Amino acid sequence: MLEAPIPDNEPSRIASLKGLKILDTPAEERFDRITRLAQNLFEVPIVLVSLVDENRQWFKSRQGLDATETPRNISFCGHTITGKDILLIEDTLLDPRFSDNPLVLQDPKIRFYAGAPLSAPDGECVGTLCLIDRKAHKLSTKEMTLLRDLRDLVQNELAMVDLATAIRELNRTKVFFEVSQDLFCIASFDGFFKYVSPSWTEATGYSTQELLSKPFIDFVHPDDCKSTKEELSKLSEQKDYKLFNFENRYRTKTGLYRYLLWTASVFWDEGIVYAAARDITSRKLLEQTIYKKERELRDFFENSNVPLHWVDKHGIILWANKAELALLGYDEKEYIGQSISAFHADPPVIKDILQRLSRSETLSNYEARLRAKDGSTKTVSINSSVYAENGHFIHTRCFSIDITLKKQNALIEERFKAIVEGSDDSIISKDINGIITSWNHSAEGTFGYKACEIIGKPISILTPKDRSQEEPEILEQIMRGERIEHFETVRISKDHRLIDVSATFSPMKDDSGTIFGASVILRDITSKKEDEQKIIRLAQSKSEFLSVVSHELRTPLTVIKEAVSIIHDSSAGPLNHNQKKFSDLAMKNIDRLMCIINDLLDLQGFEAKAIKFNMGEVNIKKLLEELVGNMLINRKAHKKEAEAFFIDAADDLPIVYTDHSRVMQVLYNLLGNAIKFSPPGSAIKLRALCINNSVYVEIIDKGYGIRADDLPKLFQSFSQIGPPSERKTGGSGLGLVISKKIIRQLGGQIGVRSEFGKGSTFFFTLPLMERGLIK
Amino acid sequence: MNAKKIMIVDDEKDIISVIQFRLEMAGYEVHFTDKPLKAEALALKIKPNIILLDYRMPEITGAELCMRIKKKKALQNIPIIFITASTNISQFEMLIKAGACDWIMKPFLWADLLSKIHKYIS
Repeated sequence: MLEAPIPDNEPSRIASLKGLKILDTPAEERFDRITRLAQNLFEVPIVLVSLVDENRQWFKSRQGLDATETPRNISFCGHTITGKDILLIEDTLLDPRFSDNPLVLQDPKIRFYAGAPLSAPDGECVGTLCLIDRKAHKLSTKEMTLLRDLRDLVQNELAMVDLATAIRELNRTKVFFEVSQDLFCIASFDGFFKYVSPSWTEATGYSTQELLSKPFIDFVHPDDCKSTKEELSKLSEQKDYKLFNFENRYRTKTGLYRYLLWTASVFWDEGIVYAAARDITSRKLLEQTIYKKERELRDFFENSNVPLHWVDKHGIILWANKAELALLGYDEKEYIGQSISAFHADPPVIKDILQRLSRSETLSNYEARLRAKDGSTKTVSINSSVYAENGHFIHTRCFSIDITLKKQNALIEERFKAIVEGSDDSIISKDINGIITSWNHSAEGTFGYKACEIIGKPISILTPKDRSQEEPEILEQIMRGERIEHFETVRISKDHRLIDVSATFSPMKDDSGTIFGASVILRDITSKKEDEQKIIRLAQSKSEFLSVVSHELRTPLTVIKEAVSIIHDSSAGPLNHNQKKFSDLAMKNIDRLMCIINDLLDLQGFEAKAIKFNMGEVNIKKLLEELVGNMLINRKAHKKEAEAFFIDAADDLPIVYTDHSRVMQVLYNLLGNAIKFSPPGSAIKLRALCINNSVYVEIIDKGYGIRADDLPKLFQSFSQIGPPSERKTGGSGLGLVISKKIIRQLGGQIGVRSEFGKGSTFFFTLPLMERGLIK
Repeated sequence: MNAKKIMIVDDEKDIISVIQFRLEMAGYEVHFTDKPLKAEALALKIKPNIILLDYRMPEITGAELCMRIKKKKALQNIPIIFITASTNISQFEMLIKAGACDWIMKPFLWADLLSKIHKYIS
């Protein structure tokens, strides 16, 4: 047996057969009709339409045979397809190629076979139309022609199979075109669309008719016309050019534009362009939005007032915003590209920061100190994290908030707090509604309230009921921005004790000058008040003491003086020399004692402000004359050598409203001093004149004078000047002090000019005041 | 010629002694008492030309005594001079209100006392 050979064009033949998509499909009447016809025409029992694939022959139509397929190697058709025309075997038993073929020896016991090769529409031979009989046959030329005609009918049906498929494919494709959101079109080089898919209408709002009626370039955005035309000319001129991912904008009926992304190919034979466009408007808008957002974000970071920088994994600064540069005072060139470590004041700190970040830790409020260009150090609070892509370190993002001022303020606040807490005064603050907002340690001690129990309560809690009006008045003054100092009042403690306080209230203002509350400093002056009371009581005792002393001392002194005086002036009988000498001594010392007592009482009186003045109109010239007269009598009485007193005063000297006896006391004192500090019998001048609004009185002696060093001591208590030998003058040493107090209280001035060895001039003034002005 | 009568009222006998000596030397007739409550009776009895009155005394103050004397019609024209150890000027004002004509401060100059007495007697 000769097996069916494999033709040379086997691969393309198989491809062509498979392209018919007919193998293993159900039987069809259009093929069966032909095989039935052949069976009748040729009067043979078996007619087949056999298709030969790689391993078998498969029967699309069969008459008189049950098998649907047989192996290719034993097939007769396998032989037929290698030839161009009909394979005719009139008697298989006589043909050595088939005489021992199983299909000959066994069922269906083929004796006769005539097969006409079938070609697919592409010309490849894919099978046969064959006639089979169980007895030998002959086939006339006429019958051969008939078989060929029938074969052609089968071939037509095979072609019909291809067309149907094509139509089906076309319809399917059309569906794709219609359902696709992409925009398909066919255009010709004349610049018009030939075909547009329905999606065009959807995308542009134009009807198909409108789209086809105008050159398509008319729909292109003016800015994209140039690039579109360039691409079109490339398509029309370069045979292998394919348009790929070209973008332009198409106008819609509303006047808006849509972004299209194009791919296109040219069918050169037909001179048409097949193109598909994708509407990427949403994507473009999204891209634009993202781009805008990104720019906004970038701008936000760039211009944010929070300093921000990025460093790479080696610690090199990649980027820094304006605030960061401003914080440290560097420009971009000095900062970006440098190692961040160079700007840190504490190397271990930046080392730690970079290590943590390299482990992808996030830093929150990490405190560090940075070095600014001007040499200063900035304390910053760092918040930093790593930006990574697919697990790879890209850069850090580090916010550095400047807390230098905050730190300084915190330090100041801490110190201030220490002062407040350490103060002996109660330091309290309140808001503008009078609600207590702070309360120091001393306040706790003074008022008995703990800070936690009184903060948030009204400060009026400390005000006794009878002073309830004070708090609103104080608040009113505070709100006017006024400070109230050393306001002495009474406050009440938790255990209802009344506490004398000296209060100082100061308004507290914020940066804009708005008053938001007040500080209250309360000093406990209870003990001060008690001291004051003690002083008053002491002064009263002193006054009583003086009163007693004055009486108890003066009365016996008066008796002594009068008794000695009676003896001394011989009223009680003549005295011998020694009696006279010692009674003299007694008299002199009694006078001295009297003088001291009087001066002491005077001084105490002035200091206690107990001295009252007996004011009246005083003629100073007459006063001086009276003084000199009394002094002369006194000197004579003491049998002293009389000094030469000269009075120099105008008759029209103004009358002074003053205390006659007190001014006389001063004059006695000054004249007494002049006498004491001058050689016996020297001349002393008393002068009075009107200068400005005062009467000026001076007593001029030509005595010993006063050393310049001693002048400042003159008007001080108990400061007699000069060596003890010169101090045999008697007196308490209080004369000038008392004189000064008298003149001052009478509204005048007292003073001295002196030249040692040449004499002194004591002077005082008395104001020319209207009646009643001096109390 | 009858001597002018001076009455001294003082609880301190020593003061009375020295003043009495001086005034008698000066030719006055001196009466005195160291018991202020008996002063009125004495004055009514002797009708002095002037009374020297101590301010600070036990039992009754000089000012009260002064007022009592001034209330007696028979005595109200007698000038009264106070002898006081006080330097308090307001006290002096009070004494004048009580009816005194003058005062003199202890210790005093003998000459001053004589001149004041002389002033009110003549």
